Amino acid sequence: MSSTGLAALPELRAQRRKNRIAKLDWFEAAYRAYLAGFVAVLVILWVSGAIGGSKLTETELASVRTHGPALLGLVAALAIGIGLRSGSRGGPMALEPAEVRHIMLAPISRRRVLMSTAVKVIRHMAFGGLMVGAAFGVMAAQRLPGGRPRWAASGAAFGLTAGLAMVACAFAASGLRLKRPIATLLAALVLAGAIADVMGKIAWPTTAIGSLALWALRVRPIDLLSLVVIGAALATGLRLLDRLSLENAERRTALVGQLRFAVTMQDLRTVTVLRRQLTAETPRTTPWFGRRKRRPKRKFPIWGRSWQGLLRTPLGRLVRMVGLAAIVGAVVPSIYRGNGALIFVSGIASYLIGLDILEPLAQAVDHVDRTDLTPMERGLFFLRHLPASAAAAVLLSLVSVGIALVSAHTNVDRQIMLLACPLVVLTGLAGAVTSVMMGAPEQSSSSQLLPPEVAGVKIAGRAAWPFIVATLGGLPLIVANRANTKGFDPLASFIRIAVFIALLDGFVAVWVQHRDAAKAWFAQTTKDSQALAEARKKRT
Amino acid sequence: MTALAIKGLTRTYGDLVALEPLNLTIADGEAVVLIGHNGSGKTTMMRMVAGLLDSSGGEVNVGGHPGGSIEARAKLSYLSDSPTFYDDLSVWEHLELVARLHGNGDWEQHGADLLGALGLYERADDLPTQFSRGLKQKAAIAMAFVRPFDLLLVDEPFVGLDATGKATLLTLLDEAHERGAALVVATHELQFVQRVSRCIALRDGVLLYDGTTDKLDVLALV
Repeated sequence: MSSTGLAALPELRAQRRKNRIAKLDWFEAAYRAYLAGFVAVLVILWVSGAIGGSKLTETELASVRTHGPALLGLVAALAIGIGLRSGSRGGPMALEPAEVRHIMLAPISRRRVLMSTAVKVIRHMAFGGLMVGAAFGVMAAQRLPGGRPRWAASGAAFGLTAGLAMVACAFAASGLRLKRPIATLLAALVLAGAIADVMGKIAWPTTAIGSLALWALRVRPIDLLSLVVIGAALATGLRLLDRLSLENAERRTALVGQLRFAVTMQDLRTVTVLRRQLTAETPRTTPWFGRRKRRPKRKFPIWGRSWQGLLRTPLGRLVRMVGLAAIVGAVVPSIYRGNGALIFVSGIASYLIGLDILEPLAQAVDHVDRTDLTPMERGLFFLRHLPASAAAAVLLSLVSVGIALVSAHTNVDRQIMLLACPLVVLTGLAGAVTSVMMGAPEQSSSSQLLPPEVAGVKIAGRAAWPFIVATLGGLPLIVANRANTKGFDPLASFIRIAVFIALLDGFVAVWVQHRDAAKAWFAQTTKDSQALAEARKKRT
Repeated sequence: MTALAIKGLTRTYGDLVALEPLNLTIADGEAVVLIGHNGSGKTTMMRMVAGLLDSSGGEVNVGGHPGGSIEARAKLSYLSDSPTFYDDLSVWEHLELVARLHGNGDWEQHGADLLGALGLYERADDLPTQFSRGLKQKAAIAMAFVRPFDLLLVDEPFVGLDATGKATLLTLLDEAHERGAALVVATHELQFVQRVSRCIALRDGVLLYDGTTDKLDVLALV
């Protein structure tokens, strides 16, 4: 008779490992490793170039000493926040669905079963953090005194601690079965404290983790206390492993696999939908307001349907959208004052708002079979989903306007803020429209023939295009700033470029309507020219 | 002794109540049919008893042990309406895994008999993830029966099964019942309803009926 219960598990797992290895495609695995290495080298080269090579001045060094720990502490706070939220949803482990059904329901200690998976997760996070931290440390050594080995070690210590902090908080949150709103609240609190520390208002514990990264400059043994706290959180999480919620684990197992696949396919819409499912972000059963009984006739059914969907936006998504609109409002005046790089922040924030606010169109694109059953040309059907989202975007931009106006001192500034905020949010929406309409890249025969490096650049360009469109919304502010510094009228300069950007937004709407026709025309033209070329070849 | 005791078990999803507080007792060796419309709360109740779904309130006891505890898991076998398998294990390897994890080291003959009865013996070395809906259901049935249990929860087991599969499952349920196991089966299959003496009906998450399985009464409920 063979061994049973927990004693049988290692043998059964070995059997699975053997089966997996037998099925493994070594060429595919080697190709993946090659691509990962290629991307890592590109990222390192880019970051290295961005950091630069000249040594910091004494003043800059003093600034690094003063502000560095808090800024890096903010990174650690972000990691902790992610960990807390992940743990409240059944993370950080992602078991297989069958593992939940067959092993978690078996009469054996779940803690002992899960321990090996948990150790793997901890090892991955620790090693990942250590490597990334060390790489950044080496790059920082280009500009900071102390030599590469010391900076590599400091960076590694910070990366390791931040990685462990994330995974420890995730395990603790999972073991303590923290409710999602409480985990989000705690994450927000940790992040708010870290931001307050960056602003110099308070001293926050995450700064001790950030301070580890500067040990190449000076050693502060008290920073090691952070490791003790993280160790305690990790021990608590591991001790409570058997309290893992199978409901969360099962939902997570199903979604994480799909999410990974969608990410590799660059299918942003699927990623968005799966992420919402992972966070249990479901639409409200009843709309926020305007719940009417039944209206027999609607003059504009798609406009009505769009508002029905938008008014069911769940609270969490609404809070996120308002928060992002607030970020736009905070960033817009800074761009106008000359911080041109913040155009990317406003672009990303408005793009994310767009993705959320564009849900009615995204639903129409998702349910293409239903869309095609509608007795209307597809492009027009999609186009009619845009007005409601655009109107909602303008309403949301009022939050941005309110915040931007706080720092506007002159009438001209106020007028620019009043125009800039809706423009930024609407251009973010235009970027989101291109993303939703483009969908996942199609596997064409020509793209399969491209070498991976070229295909990679093509894919990156395709993925970046919606962000580029979204970012353009802040461009008039940069122009207005330049005009102001050169003594020209900033408002007139702003309006000139804003009109151009507004036209671009309009062009996106036109593209939505005529995209299919344009694609068909392009395909037909290509086919005709190929036929013509072949006919010429035959004649010669 | 009670095989299953449920006290005030409830589940809500935001403002939607999937199961109103439910009180229920099932005696050792009792066979019960659970009926109700789609969305009535049958699967929610079963998944909470099995420990796959967190309850919003209330208690579950399986054979005198708290639901989800090691002892409860040893006593309870759950056959879900959506079978789940490992991608890299054959049917036979799945049976081995489940049987041995539940303390049944001497499982091979029983496993072979089950697969034979279900018409799956020839497919024992195939991967169940590549099976059709009906074959997957048969593999899941074999896995639910290959291990020892005192309480069997079965959710819509006849869906997707052919006539032979249905007959075999009925026989397996009868045999389990004769061995003294308690059965809770969610189904509208009259052939099974006629074999048991107690029927529990749920509607919109509320216990609507708990009584005998008089055929006309039951038909009126479903």
